[in-house]
Amino acid sequence: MFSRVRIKFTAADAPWLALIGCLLVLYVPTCVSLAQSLWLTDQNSQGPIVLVVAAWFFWFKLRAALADPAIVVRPAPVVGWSLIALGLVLYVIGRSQQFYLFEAGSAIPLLLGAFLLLLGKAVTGRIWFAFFFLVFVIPMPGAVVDTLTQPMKIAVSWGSEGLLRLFGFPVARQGVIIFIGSYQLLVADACAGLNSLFTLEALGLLYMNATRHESAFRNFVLAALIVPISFTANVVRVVTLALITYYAGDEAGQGFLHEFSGMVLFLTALMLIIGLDSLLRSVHSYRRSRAVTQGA
Amino acid sequence: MDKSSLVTWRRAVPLCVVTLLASLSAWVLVPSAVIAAPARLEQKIPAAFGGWKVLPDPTVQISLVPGDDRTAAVAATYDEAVMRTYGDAEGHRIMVAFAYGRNQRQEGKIHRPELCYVAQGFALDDSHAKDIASDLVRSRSIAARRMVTHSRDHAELVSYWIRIGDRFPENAVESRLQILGSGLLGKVPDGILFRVSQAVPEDLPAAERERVFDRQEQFMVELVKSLAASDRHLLIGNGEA
Repeated sequence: MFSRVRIKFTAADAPWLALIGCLLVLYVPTCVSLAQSLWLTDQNSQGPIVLVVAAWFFWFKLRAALADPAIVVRPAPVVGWSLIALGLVLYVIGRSQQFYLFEAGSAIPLLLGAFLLLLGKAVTGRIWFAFFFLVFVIPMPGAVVDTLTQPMKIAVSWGSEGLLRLFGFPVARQGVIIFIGSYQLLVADACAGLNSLFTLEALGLLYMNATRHESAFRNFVLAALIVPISFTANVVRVVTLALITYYAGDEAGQGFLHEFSGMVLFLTALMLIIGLDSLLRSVHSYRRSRAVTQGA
Repeated sequence: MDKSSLVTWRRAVPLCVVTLLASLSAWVLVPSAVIAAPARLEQKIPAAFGGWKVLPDPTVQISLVPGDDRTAAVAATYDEAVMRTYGDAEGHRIMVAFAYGRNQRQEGKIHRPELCYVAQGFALDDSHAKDIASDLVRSRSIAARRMVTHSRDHAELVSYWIRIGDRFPENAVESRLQILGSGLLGKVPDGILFRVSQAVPEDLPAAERERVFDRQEQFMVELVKSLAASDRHLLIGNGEA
């Protein structure tokens, strides 16, 4: 994945650098605006991490594609310029009207167009996943996120209530509010973990793409498993916080442990994904080796 | 593959030029926010009008902000918020809430009650549009909405309208489009939420519900009429298309 990088700039690199400079002129102000607003909220706090990962991934994939002798560079100016025009229009509207969806979203058609213009369809096709991954960086409007989060919130609330009732706790539920003992907890956005679900899904897909499993089936299974893993992790988190509140009061439940529990469970879920993947891999190679010995 | 042949100055320069032009345009097209005088709703909304009087012991109302992580950001966009409970001689109580923001932006605009009620644990049973045709607004009717919600303890009937600039957007998409359109013409509009709600028994029959809603609509129109003519634009805009 990582090879030695020789940093040696020649005159031929200057146009590349100029283009990267222009990209920074466009999007560094965007990042600054986001860092002062949306990236501070629970809903979008995964933004900077996913952005850095996306940038690295672009560079990683591009180097691999350019190093491949089978890929031919054939510029596509018509499609390229059309997409660049679209991207820049979105950027101008988005930036001047403070509409982050357009401002950040413009990066996708803009980069796509630039790549098609300069490097052609073959190279761009090879790095398609990096563009797909960029979607996870773009902040969605609150209303969209609410619609996507609501089913997960209700599912997590339902699961948590069921689990608590199973163990005999005095628990009731109304929508996304859980009543336990004399306390009530609101399962909010952060608890429902769209933020962590999104990031988890994104990082999971990235991990799979980078490690390049041969089996499409295993890739699919892993991608699908991320949703129940996130659901489980969040139910455990809500149940834990409900129990803390029940036994130690409101302040304990809303204090330091609240933030900490989120991070711990996110990391646990990530470990689960990697662990599950290793398991799938070892099962696959075990079966392969058995087939070989049986065949021989 | 030799990098130097891929991107030459001939290819890079047009791209750099349009990019820098875009950056400049974005800066030029930023609409100017108006530093208007404060609305001072508290003083302008009368304490008594047409049979209704402000009650000294107001009912606790559902908050005007979503009540989650975004609360601080949203609350910062409201310049003024007024909450009162009015009562009449027959013993009816109506809760009234105003949220006013001088500069409506994509990420900082008035929030819809559908969002705030649900975020604070209410279930939304119904929400539909109900245009208010009256002589108040010259060329159009007011696009208001009626909501039926319930929580563990009680049900609430809510009527509201949201004014942004001189129009009444009916949903979040229309709000965004209007702020976008206004902004591209160089203006940042102001906005207000005018919300009226009443607690009712959960098993209220539909006909009774309609009567309660109609009374709320009448209340809202009377309240607007009770304002001085020069102040009414705060609630209903200036009546132009």
